[in-house]
Amino acid sequence: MSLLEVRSVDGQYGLLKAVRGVSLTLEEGETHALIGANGAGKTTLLRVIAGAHRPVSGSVVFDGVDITRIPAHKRVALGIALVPEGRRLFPGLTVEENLSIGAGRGGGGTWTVDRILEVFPMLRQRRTHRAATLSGGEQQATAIGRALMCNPRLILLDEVSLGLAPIAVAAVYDSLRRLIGGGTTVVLVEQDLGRALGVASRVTCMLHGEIVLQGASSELTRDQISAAYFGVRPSSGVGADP
Amino acid sequence: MSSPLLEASGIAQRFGALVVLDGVDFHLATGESVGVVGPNGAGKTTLLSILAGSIRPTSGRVRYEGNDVTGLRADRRCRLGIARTHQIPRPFIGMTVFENALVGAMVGAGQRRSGVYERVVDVLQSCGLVDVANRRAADLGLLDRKRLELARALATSPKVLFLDEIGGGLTDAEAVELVGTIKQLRQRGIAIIWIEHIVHILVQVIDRLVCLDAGRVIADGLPGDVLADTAVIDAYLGTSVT
Amino acid sequence: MNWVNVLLQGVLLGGFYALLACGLSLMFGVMRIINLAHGDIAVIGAYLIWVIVNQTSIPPWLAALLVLPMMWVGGYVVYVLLLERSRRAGQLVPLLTTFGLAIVIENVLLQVFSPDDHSLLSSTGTLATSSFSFGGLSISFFGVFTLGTAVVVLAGLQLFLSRTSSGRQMRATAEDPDAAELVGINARAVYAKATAIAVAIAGLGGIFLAIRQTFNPSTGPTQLIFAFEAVVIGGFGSPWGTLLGGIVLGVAQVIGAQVNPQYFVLFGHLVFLAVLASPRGGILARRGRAL
Repeated sequence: MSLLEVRSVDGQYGLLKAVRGVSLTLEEGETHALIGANGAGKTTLLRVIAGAHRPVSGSVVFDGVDITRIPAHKRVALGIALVPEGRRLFPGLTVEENLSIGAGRGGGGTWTVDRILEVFPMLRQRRTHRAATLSGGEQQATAIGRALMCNPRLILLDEVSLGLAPIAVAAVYDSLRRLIGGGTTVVLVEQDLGRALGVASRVTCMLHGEIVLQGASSELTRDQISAAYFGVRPSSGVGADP
Repeated sequence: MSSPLLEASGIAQRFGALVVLDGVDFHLATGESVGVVGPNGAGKTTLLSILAGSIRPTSGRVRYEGNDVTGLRADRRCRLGIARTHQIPRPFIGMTVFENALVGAMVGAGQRRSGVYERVVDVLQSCGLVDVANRRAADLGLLDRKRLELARALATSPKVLFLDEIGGGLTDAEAVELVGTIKQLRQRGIAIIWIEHIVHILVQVIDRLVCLDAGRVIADGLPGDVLADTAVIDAYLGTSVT
Repeated sequence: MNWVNVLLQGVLLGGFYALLACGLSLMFGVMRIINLAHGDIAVIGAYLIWVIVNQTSIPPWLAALLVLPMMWVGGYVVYVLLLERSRRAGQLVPLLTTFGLAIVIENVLLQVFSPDDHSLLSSTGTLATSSFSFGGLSISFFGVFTLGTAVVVLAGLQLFLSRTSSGRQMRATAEDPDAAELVGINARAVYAKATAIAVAIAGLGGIFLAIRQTFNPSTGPTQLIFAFEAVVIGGFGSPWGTLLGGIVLGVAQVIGAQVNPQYFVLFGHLVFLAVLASPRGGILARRGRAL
């Protein structure tokens, strides 16, 4: 049984149809890259999975249970954590408080504040500082750590390399590999195609709210992906949507 | 040897016990483009804020066109010709693209009614925004929002333009367009200071590269030399260089 | 005229204002809701204890212990039935809702009880009137008790917010309810609890109100003004600010009364306006925080 099934989800932002008829299946332990131009609907889709956005139609099934009506805070307990776009830390709380606020909500798991600080050593000296005083990259690292503290079975990462120095991006992707090795299922939205394809086993490309390409990253060529990005239908593609 | 357009000497910045900048010297010649890189928390945005006038340094002086402007607030400096963009685009959300740029032209450049509309159209053309001139800022996609940040800054007729991580979150294709826009600004003779993590975009535009680490300048020179500097690789790039 | 005595009276009065203001400050801090019914809710507390004491043989201190849980539950009810939907409807709607609530409360009290003044003064015996001497000053025992209670409540609230997991959740939800949901916090439950705490403390303020002075169905709005002024003077966002604000207000009022008995409230207003006009905002105003 797949860990996550998204079935024909439609998502709306005001008058804009941000997600149209999107279906997706994730196996446990899989790493899935969600790519596409800005405005393609990737963030909306992640938020629908996390429960922060109610779809207009369609359903989300997690571990065999229909969670479409379950609110976001209860999905955390089920094992879904989202690292949201835009560094949504709690500015008045310290780094340590931001991290520990996620603790004990998910299932059993091994992430602790000390382990997070091992993965992101730049945060060590900022441990007791208020999040509002952190630099952009430090905030990003804290946001990732906060989600990890929920010990999720499925972690959704929305552009985590944004604002991080190359060396920090390498550290994040290193820790992602450790996550993957440990069996956590990962969905990541990432603009850096090289990074995304380097770590993901499967890829979904979105354009104008629809899926235009889906398949194993090893089987898709760079040309196919570029074409999907820009809206050129590939003549013969693996898993291309008609 | 002509005196620099913008010069900072002995800049130090402390927030309580936290030392963010520790004796930084910086200079920028007229029409020069300088890139600023460094690990997260190195003090890049703080340095920018000090040069632009949003923060007053704990010690050190900032000189612009030979005059000491350390005590001048950002809006005064803007009228003197210093403009900046922000990491997260902050347009006047309810206003159209045209109106956003108009504010910059009338207030920032202090222009009178006659001629200012033509000037704004000229600015929007340079930034590739003429097609969306009447669209509300709230309805813009990411690339256009970044362009609007540029346009609004450009409308103030700056001599120095600060770009703060403007490349983040863009697809490769969008990044190419943005680089094109920034090169056009360079051709107008505007001096540019650009903080960026996406190094391969940055090097297409800049003459010189400065690397900060832990509040100090650790490298300052030609981009190729700086990126090959071992100190820079250790602190910033990591072993995998794009 | 003994200035030390004046200062002291002001501080003791300030203790009462701080207690009154606490709930108002909490609701604004956590939910950005200005509860225009706050004063009237405190008056409900006053009526509740008055009814219990006068209709039964329960002693006042026990009655107080009964009133507080009732107010706590009432807070949950107010949130779930009224404020939850108002909050989601925008910034202005909660103001209108609580304004309406205030009117409803005042008129219900008017119907149930008469417009007559009531007080718990007679039932509390010497508690409200006794005083003791210290260094040549005559200090009201009840005034010290009120100030002490205010300090304990505010300290407790501060500890709750800064040290407990539940308090941390409340702070996080106050700053970003959307992100709070994403880390497993039930924002609705947090807001309901904040309202319950605020209403319970308002009720406690009402109990002290009942002892120290007379009250009637229209006493509420005046208490709201004092509470509001105390919160603004002290700056939003900090229980200690509320204490300081209350004391400053109390001292200002007492000094005003010394100048001329009719200037009692006026001097409080003047200090309030002065603080609003000053660049710092409140005395302990939080610095802006945008992320």
